Amino acid sequence: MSMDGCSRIDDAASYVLRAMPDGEWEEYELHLRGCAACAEKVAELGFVSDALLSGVPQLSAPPAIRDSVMAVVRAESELLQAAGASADRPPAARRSRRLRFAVRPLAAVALATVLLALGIGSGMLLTGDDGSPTRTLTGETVAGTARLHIADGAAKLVVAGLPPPPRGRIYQVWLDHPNDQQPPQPTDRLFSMSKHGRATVDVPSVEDVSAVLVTDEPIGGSQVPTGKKVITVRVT
Amino acid sequence: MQLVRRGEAEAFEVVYERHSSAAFSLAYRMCGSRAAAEDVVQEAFLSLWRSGARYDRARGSVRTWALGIVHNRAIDSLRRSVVHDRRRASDEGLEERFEARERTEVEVARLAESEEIREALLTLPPEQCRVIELAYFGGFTQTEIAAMLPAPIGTVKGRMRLGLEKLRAQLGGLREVMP
Repeated sequence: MSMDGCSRIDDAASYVLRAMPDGEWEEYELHLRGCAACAEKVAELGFVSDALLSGVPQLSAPPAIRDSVMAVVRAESELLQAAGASADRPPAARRSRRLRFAVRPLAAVALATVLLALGIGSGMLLTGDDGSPTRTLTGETVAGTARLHIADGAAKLVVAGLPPPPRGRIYQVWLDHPNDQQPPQPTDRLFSMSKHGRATVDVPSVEDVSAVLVTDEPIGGSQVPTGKKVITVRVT
Repeated sequence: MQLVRRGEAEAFEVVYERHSSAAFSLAYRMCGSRAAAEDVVQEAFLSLWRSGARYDRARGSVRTWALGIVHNRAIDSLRRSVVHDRRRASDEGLEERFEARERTEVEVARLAESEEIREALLTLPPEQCRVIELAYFGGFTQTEIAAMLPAPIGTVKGRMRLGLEKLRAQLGGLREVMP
């Protein structure tokens, strides 16, 4: 027994530093429920571990992270709003346990719908705050995922998991039009993939566009597609 | 956070803007590579967005909650790593590798706080500082640290505890000002 009243008091530091293997961490968490000495020590040292989180050299977060996080957040937010306020409102205290579980699936359905829209490829039509249509469309790719977020006629292509273009080439965005025998219309939107395998590209207006395409082209882009088509997002 | 709980993207964007740099700094410090840090921050903020309803103000600030999620994600990422390459970038000159920008008063205050915490760490006996660094920023378990030093596991636990207690005594003033 330690002077602090419990033989496991030294484990408090390992616990707050998360230095315990996972199984042991959970086991100590159970111990804390019945041991006032250890619980008090964890509370005391927890402040220090929180402070340590702030004790690293401060850097600016790359803007690309913000773009990809907010693209997902906005898409999910729109779906949650469309599902109605009850979807994410905490259940009232007086409701029975059975009713609480009845309400939760609304949020689950909304989230599942988000995952479906973002992950498997079906498009989804929603309405923005101002009544304008917003959509997220999933494209066909040779690898990874490609999603086109459309709001107010503007579109953003979010690509993940696509290999970088071949050496000396770059990806170029094209717009295809319905009932048009002409080759796709070139855009000046050229991009490569980040080291992390992601890219976010603003696409010019997709009004009257039947598909957004991406091919690999020589550096500087082309006027007609010359490379392999790697992404096709059909705008229906 | 009430607005975030309601699923409002604009409210979450404010949370992201306030805490993303601290989150990236922590993730970079732990993972040692920009790509891995980006992964961790992205996963952490999406987790934060989806679990906003679980935030309990009584248990600390949004910043502490957010950084706690980043810390856990970074540890999970490190422990998933097959190669277990934990080599971390030197702190020196890191700021210059990223785009510099003007700092707000709050950021200046946090910078000072961050320096105070690092200075406090340096005042610890080296063996105590090392076990805390390895555990908290390296993501190593106490068993791994004992094998690396090498030292009995009881010694490792004791050093962690003594080190944290000394830090607590030194950083007590921060408790009043931490957001």
